[in-house]
Amino acid sequence: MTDPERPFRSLARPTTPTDPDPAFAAALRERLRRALLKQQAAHPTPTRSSPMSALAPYLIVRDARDALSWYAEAFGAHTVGDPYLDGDRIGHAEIEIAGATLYLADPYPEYGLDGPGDGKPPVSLHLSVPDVDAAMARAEAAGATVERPATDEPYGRGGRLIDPYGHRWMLQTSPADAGPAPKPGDAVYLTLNVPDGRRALDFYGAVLGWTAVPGRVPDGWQVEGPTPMIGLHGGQHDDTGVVPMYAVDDIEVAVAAVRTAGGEAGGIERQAYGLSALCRDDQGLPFYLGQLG
Amino acid sequence: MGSPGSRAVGPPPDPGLLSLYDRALPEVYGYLLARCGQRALAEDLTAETFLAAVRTQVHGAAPLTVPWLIGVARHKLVDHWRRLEREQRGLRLLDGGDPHTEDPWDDELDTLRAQQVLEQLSPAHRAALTLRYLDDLPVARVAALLGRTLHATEALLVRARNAFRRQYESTEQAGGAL
Repeated sequence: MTDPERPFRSLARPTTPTDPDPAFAAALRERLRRALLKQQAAHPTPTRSSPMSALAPYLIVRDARDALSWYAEAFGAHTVGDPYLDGDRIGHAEIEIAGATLYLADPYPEYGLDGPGDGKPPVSLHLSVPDVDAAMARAEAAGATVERPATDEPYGRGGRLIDPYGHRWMLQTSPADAGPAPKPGDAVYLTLNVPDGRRALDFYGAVLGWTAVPGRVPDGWQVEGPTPMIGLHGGQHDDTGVVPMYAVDDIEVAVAAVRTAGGEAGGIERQAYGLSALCRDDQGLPFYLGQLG
Repeated sequence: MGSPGSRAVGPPPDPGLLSLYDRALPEVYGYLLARCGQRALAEDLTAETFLAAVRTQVHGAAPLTVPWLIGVARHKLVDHWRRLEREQRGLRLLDGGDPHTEDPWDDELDTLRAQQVLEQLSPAHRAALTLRYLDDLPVARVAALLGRTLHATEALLVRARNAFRRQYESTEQAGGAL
């Protein structure tokens, strides 16, 4: 049988650079220069969302530009301020991960500053995350080497990995810290269903100072800090918008009550935190029920 | 780093976008011109692409690279076709045809004529074929860019290939003198 796509494959076309009309090129450059100036005046560069500690790790990474996106992708880091450019190299950049500041720069062998190379790094970066398995999986998919898979320890679940620049990260989820238990009816979690999770994180990071770590689904992010907890979920959704989760004592009773009251309830699913069910009220508004613990 | 280990020098204004401009402009413009075929439109979309980059650069979000700019340009192109599709909808019947049948077709396409045929197709068909074959993107990426489901995109691609073939063969019968 003939492949119906076959004739079309010959159409693949790499980009052929084409110089536009020089007058257009010059006019656009001028427009950009003015737009950049206007923007810089209107928006001071992003600042850190938490006070800075006196002690900050300073990582030397080959290809710091690449590393900025890698740490964003793997650990939800965001760049603070403008990187200091030094020719082709990044001479200094600051990123914030989970409220902590890291400095980054390209190697400066002339100052004796180089990345860890192939040896075992003697210093590790310890990062607390809400879901260590998800964070490890995300980092591994992005190119990290797992040194020790996550295991349960008395102090929490943790694992170790080496990032593509040779730095070791110890990721750990603390055992659930005993805050006051939520009362039935409390909103305990908000899921923001958006088309692009990473973009939403950038937006709310700029507006509210949110930082987040990758969740367990692609383009899913766990925001750190706010109460109730908030997750961002990028992708195509039936319901774009905020879907709250309400705590209940007994999810089977609650699901039955939803149906009796004229709503719809989906199946009860087991989650890391307990049991959940996606429901709709009798006017169609979506919400989750959660039986925690 | 100017003063290694310390909190660096006050950063000079980041020349990022402007320093990239001379190298990136022919790439972005070339990408758009090859796909939309009209100089004025390619210029408009090029300007939109770079101005969008200005807005994102302020937030220090993505590091600026040429492939990233091409990605933005691709979104601008899709937006353009979507606007066009909206304007033209209602002026013509949606092309029918069973999206599941497709006769085997094994022709060697002439690139120049293929480009002319593409320009005669509806914006939706043109968008789907351009992203899938000229840009060589997997169907899932095409679906995400067009904001359609995977299934709907596959059906759209079948219809688009059929429409392309009808048009291509009709120009052939016209004597190939086009």
